[in-house]
Amino acid sequence: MKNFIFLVKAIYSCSLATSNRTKKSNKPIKGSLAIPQFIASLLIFVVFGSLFINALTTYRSLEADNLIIEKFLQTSLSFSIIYCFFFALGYIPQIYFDPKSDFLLALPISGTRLFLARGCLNVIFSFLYGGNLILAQLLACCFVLKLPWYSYIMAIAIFLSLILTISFLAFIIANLFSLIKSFSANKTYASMFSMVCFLIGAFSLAMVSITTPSVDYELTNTENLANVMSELNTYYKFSLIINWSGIIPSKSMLLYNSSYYWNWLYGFIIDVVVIICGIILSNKLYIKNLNNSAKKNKKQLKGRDFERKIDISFKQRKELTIYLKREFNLLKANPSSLISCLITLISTLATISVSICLTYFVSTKDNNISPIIEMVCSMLWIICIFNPFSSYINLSLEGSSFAYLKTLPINRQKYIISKMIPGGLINLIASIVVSIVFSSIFRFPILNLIFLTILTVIISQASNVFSFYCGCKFVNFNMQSSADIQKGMGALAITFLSLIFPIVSWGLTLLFYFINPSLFYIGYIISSFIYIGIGILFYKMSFNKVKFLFEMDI
Amino acid sequence: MIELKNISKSFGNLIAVNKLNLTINDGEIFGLLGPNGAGKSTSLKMITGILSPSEGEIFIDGFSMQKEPTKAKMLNGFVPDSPDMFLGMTGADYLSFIASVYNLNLNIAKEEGIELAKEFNLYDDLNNYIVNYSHGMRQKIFLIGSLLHNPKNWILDEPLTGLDPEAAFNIKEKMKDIAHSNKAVLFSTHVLDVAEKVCDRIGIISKGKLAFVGTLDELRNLQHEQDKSLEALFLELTKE
Repeated sequence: MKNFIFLVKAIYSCSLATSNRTKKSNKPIKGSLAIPQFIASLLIFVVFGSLFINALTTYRSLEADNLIIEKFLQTSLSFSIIYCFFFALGYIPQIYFDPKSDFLLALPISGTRLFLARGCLNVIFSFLYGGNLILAQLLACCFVLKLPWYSYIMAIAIFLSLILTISFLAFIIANLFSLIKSFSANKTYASMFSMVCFLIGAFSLAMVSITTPSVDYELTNTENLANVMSELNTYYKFSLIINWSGIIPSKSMLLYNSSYYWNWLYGFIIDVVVIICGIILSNKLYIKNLNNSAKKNKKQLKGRDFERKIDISFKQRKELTIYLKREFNLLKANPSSLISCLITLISTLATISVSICLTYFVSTKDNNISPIIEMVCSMLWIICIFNPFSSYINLSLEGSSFAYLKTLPINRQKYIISKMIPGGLINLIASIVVSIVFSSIFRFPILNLIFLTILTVIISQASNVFSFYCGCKFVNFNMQSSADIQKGMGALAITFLSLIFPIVSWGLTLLFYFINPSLFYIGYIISSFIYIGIGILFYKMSFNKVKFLFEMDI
Repeated sequence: MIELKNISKSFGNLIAVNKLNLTINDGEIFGLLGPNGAGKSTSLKMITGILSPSEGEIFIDGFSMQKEPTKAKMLNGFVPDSPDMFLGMTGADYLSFIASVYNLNLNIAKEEGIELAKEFNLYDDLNNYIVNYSHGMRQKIFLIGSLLHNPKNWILDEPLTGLDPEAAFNIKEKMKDIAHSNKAVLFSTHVLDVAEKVCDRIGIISKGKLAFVGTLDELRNLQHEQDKSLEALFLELTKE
């Protein structure tokens, strides 16, 4: 056991440990635990758990049907599972495919042992990113519904089974994709591709989960939505299996009816079977991959194609375009940046889905609930478009290249702009999509749609600039892997601030709503000016910070 | 021309470079020799702008690196010791990026880049990603990038490490060609043999201080006076 723990630590220190330098001695600290990461994860657990308790309590106080609570839990858990799976998949390149820890293969350690050690790390990181949300929801549910003490143990058991299933499932999927010939040389891209496919599939499944009518009870609006999405009804039986299997254990977890205890046990047994099969299959896949040597994907163009490609590289472009091209190449080569983009995409889709769910599944005849739903949707909208990690990692991704860039006569203005544009573009697309969808859900007039879109774009761009500034402030050029960038005090600070910033806008809106409901939008107007100011301020601060970094010793 | 005037660099209590005064003239190849940790790379990093000196000033053809860094950097071409950078770009993309940074005409830069790539046997790999290059190939692409804008001062940090004999020979010949066209070449190495074959003048640096500056003839005269081998003399100078 002791040797196994040493092995886990060795893999962690090679592939995942932070490598920050102490301020005093400038010596690197390698192999240190990412304490701020754990703290951030714990904080998210506490904050999210509190929000969830609040939400469940609100539903109970509104005397909403238990089915509403079930739907809410079901939706929330679905997206938390997607989120957790997403991160488990994202960590696979660092944990399993990182060449830095390949020297372990020269040691007398069996492939299975190595695999289990890496699997252990994957489970830990699945917990830190996403797993904490799942546990928070399950425990909050037990607390609000005042379930007996053993429900908490059941909740933890279900949580562990979910995390293990997610971790090994992620590994299996990434490996299956990496068996495809074009991905075999680049397993990072295999993971990314599988992430995108999973996203599409999981989103569809989640939508089915949301729209599936309950066996016991059907809401009035559900039929209308089921008619609108009639093609999804074919997944009805499949979704019931998911519900009962414990993968989305909403029905069984509520445990407000003793007849569901057997449902829970049934789901748990299925999960254990899936986990055991998953471990065996993924172990075999892993050892198969170890035995296959990585082939470098060297496409050799010839003749005119070769010359044409060189011509394209040297095509006359504006200076900013060349900086941008370089920036996109840098982002493309790093999994963390792709994860950043996908986070925005997921949160956009999640916000839209939850809003549709909340709007269509709660009776709009109740005048008390309707404005609350609008408020909740607005809050989700703001949180969704305020993406604090959009440009956070961009400067740190330079790594050792930054020292070399210092020797070149770089145009610093264009350099900074090229760093901000990719994240800004992603935020822009997300903000426009969310605005249009929200306007459709709430049936806004055209003028309100334009107004909302402008506001959303302002907020999203301000968050992008803020994110870039935080990335400059907490820059880490000494990263050993791209996962290093998202650890440390910077990530903790940005997580904190990202919770406060959107609340400014939401708080102002709420204030004006309570003063006079028709003044609802004045809060948005004022907050848009605040965000413009934030954007300009942080842009200037970013420029000064980058200028300082170019001049200081690194 | 590169001028170092009273340059010092300290990291906390450690003095990496101590009151260095040095001039590298146009038309000469200057080799900076010394053991590991002597201060060679630190000196080169200050000359190229990666590090700022704690004291003193550096002038590149009259432009101060501290006060007019952009103008000074336009005149330098630097080859780092560790070429594991820009891995997500192809060789051609990297060269076009460098060309745009130095405000070169891209068509002319393309022709120049292709010519240099053929000279260093890297032409066939220009469209491959740098991540797929071997260490020697990465070294070559950075060499080519540093020469694209015909720098007035060519600065190389341990340039021959990891290169095959043909590439090493080509670099030495390139150094001579550049020096013959009245430009300064400065490179660091810890191998005396390399300096013997290429350099017009050498500087031996030890523990941050210059132990010797002069031509190889002057060093040989010192060797004969002391009746020691060149290696023994070098070791003695760097021990002091």
